[in-house]
Amino acid sequence: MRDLDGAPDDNRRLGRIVATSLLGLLVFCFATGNEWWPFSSFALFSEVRGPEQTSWSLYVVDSDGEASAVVLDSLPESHWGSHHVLPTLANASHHEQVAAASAWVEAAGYDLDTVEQVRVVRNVSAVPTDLQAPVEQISQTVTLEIDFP
Amino acid sequence: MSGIATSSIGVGRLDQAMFAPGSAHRVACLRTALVVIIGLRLISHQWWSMSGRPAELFRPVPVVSWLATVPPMWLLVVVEVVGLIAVALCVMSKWPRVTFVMAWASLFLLAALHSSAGKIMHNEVLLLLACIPLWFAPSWARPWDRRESTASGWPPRLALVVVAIVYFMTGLKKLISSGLDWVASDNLSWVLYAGAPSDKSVLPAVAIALAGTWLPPVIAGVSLTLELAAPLLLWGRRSRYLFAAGIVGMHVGIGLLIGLDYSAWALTVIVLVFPWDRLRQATSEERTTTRFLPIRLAR
Repeated sequence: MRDLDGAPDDNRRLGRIVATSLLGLLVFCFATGNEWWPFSSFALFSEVRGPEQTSWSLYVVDSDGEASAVVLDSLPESHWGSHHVLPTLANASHHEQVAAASAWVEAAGYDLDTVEQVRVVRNVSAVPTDLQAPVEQISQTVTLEIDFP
Repeated sequence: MSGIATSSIGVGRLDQAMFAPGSAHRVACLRTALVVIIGLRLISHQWWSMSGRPAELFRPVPVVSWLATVPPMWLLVVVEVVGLIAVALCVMSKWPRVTFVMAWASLFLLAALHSSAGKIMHNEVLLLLACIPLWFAPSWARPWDRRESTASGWPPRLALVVVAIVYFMTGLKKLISSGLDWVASDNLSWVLYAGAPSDKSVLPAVAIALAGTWLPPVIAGVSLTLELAAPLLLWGRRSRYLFAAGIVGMHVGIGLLIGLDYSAWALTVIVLVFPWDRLRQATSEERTTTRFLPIRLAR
């Protein structure tokens, strides 16, 4: 009996190829931790959360040695979410670090000629248990200092 | 030896179940419903706002690693508009196979770019993965089409298997990473406390109040059980509805309390478990009754 779209055997063969590839890729990425988006290791809220939370911020040090915070939330929409790059910057080359830091600092309105250094800071704060409570800072650690040429 | 024989019989039965003929109506309705969700996702996000991201801050996922940075705004708008036109054509059953793939590709490209800022975004992942088997759905299939074929049968079933495996892996990952502490500790309370101040949370006060009760470990336990049991629950016809109700509740809760948008996941589950064939049967019975009513009256 022929199927409406060709022989049923052809359809089964196509279906088996698609099923094996699709399910194989899903399982492979999960097992190996590879993020071949949209195939993923599906680490969604998989770590246990506690009373502390971590955030990252950027400070600009000018020629007078004054440090000021770059408000990442006030950057243009095109830069939204780019703070996720901050924790990975330490593994980049100095050239890449300067290029990335320049992109943030320029977007925040700083004159690059006056920038001596950019600092990447890891902030640990207490998770507020009240909507009105101010954020209680626990620690601030400079994880990276990028000297500008 | 008998173990191998038993497992090969099991695989054979699975194969038979997967590739049994299915209705053209179901696959066509499912394709239409999925493409509508794609359309909703295309219009619910300002995808063009990504343009202008400096190349230095572009961390492409592998599928868009051939790009130096996010394309210009006009190109993102073109991709979105082409996607929406494809959605409209697919809903009207115009070249449904081609237009379905076009709509999918539009969302795929835009969501891949959105996921290229240093953090993997999962919001569209389930929808995109569940749609892949539907690329192969027959182009001639239309809603209310009574014909059955092998080609119409396996794409919806495979999409359901994909959804089951994704939820199972999501649950398993939690167990592997955190063990039972994921449920038994204050984990979910801290998730609620941390997420409540988000601008996107609709009910921040409720999230804070809920976090302080005994309920979070119970909710965490139910959620993890649902995820791990997804393959079993989606196998049975009735248990599918239980799974869908639980999962939709979970995603709605996450959206309202901590503002994370997983609506595409919830909608994908809904359209996949919806009994499209029963809808056709119910409608044809109604049509038959209406058609024969005057004759019965005449007698």
